[in-house]
Amino acid sequence: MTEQRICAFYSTGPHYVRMLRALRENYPDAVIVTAIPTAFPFEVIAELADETVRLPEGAQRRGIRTALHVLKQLRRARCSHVVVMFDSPRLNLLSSMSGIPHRRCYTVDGRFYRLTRRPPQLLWDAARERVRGQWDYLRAWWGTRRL
Amino acid sequence: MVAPGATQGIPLRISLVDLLFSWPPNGGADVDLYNLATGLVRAGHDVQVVVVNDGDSWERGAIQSGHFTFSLLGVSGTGHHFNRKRLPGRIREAVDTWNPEVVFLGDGFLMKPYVGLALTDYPLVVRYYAYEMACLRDILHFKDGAPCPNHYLKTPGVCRACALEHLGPEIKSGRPHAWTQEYLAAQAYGPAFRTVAESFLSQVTGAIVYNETMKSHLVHHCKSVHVVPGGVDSQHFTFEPPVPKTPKDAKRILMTGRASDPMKGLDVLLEAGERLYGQRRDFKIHVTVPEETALPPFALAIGWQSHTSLVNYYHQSDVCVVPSRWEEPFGLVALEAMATGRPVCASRVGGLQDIVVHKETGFLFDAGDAAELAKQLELLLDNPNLRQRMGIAAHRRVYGEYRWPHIVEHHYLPVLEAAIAEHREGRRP
Repeated sequence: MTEQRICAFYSTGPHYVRMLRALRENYPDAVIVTAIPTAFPFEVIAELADETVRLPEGAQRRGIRTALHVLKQLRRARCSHVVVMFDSPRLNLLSSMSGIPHRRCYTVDGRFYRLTRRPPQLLWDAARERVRGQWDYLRAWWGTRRL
Repeated sequence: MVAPGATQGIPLRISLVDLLFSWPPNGGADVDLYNLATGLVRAGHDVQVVVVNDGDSWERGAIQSGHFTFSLLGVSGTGHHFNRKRLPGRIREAVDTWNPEVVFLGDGFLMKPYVGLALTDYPLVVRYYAYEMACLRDILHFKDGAPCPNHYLKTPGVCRACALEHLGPEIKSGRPHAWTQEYLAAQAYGPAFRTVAESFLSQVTGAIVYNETMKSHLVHHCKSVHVVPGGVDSQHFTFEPPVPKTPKDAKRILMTGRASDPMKGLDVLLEAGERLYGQRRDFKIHVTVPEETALPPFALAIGWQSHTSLVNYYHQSDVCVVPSRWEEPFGLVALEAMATGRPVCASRVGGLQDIVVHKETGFLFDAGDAAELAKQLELLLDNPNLRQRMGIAAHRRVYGEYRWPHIVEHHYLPVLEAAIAEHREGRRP
């Protein structure tokens, strides 16, 4: 990452503050824009954030309306980089549709890496995951009925 | 307490196997294993920790720091490697390279019996951190706001149906959490799993649990079950006198741990806070719940805190609260708070009632009794001398009985040595 306006996108998980610290350490000159829910207590991250985007209530939930609202907020922030906390299909899709050119993931074990999956692949992966889930459930359902 | 075995004083080669270890820790079991391994190394033993790496998950094998005093070996547990046929064999291979005298099987869920059965050629000691063998759904054995009356080894049909009903939506989503992955990989939904679990329990040389309730769950299935408390890293959770406060300064009440889990009783603390807030405004409750959690004005969500930053929160607090509603197996957070010299108000459940001495190192209240907790908090908020006196007593108690060197020397080593001796005895013609 070279520039400079980095959007740190919050998800429920153990490493958001850790991620902000890592960004501050690794990119001391960058403007860190925290994308956090309305109820998030800003004082917890005050010293690590330069700017803040408040995401709507329930931004963690699924749904097209929520996603559109979040995307609007992210586009407005005009960041050069976005960093998410998990390499999930949903966060991949959201970050790739945000229009922010550089996408990264910060893992719980403290690594930054590039997100490379594009929307068609993400949709394919999500569909495959769901089919596998249904198959696993069917096997478990059948298993519980055996004596 | 187990009598020391013949190997006492001689360095042991010990393998610690853990299916869920991550560092920085995701929970008390990770901290426990890390401190056990470090304590054994400090006591002069050769220790190898075998963990399962799953590149896709933050819950299993996500290890950031490489500064371990023990040897750490990762076994691939990603995707098709994580099943009941492949994983035990891979772990066995990893353990064989170390050729230990005794194997300790730490945290894990329903894959533990399969992994354990692959290791029964060694003296094998298994640690249960919660109620893994009593419940297929999760380790908590807690249902509809109360301890569950069923037990998997006694009512397997009921428990299998309950587990699938509870885990079904997560399984269908295709993104199961680490614990549910073990449920699927072990095929714990099927009738054969019970036989595997019972066979495993009958073959382990020793089992370690946190309290007598947990012991009663296993005592009919295992040869020997030992109650061993957890410990606290007293070099990390150091004593610090409370920051002097004027009557106008807000006192800080702290609740740490997995506070967003309903069985941890945050609702009880908030109800007690509500009662106090009606009479006084000189306090603030800090809670380790996700930062976006909506809380009343007298409470603050401080998010998930690292092992390092947590110490500062304890030092800045005046009182710590552990209001658990379930039969908390141990209650490590109470111990950590006490080590830093803070009085603890805890519910009268599970291991907490062994750790907190009522009216000496803090207060105990009946689980869910917010009115009683409010009274105890009021008393502590009003009396800085009482807070200090109880904090010092709490620290002394931890320093005397719960330091890791003490726990390793007086609890773990005798169990490990006895397992080795018993295994040798069993092999004699």
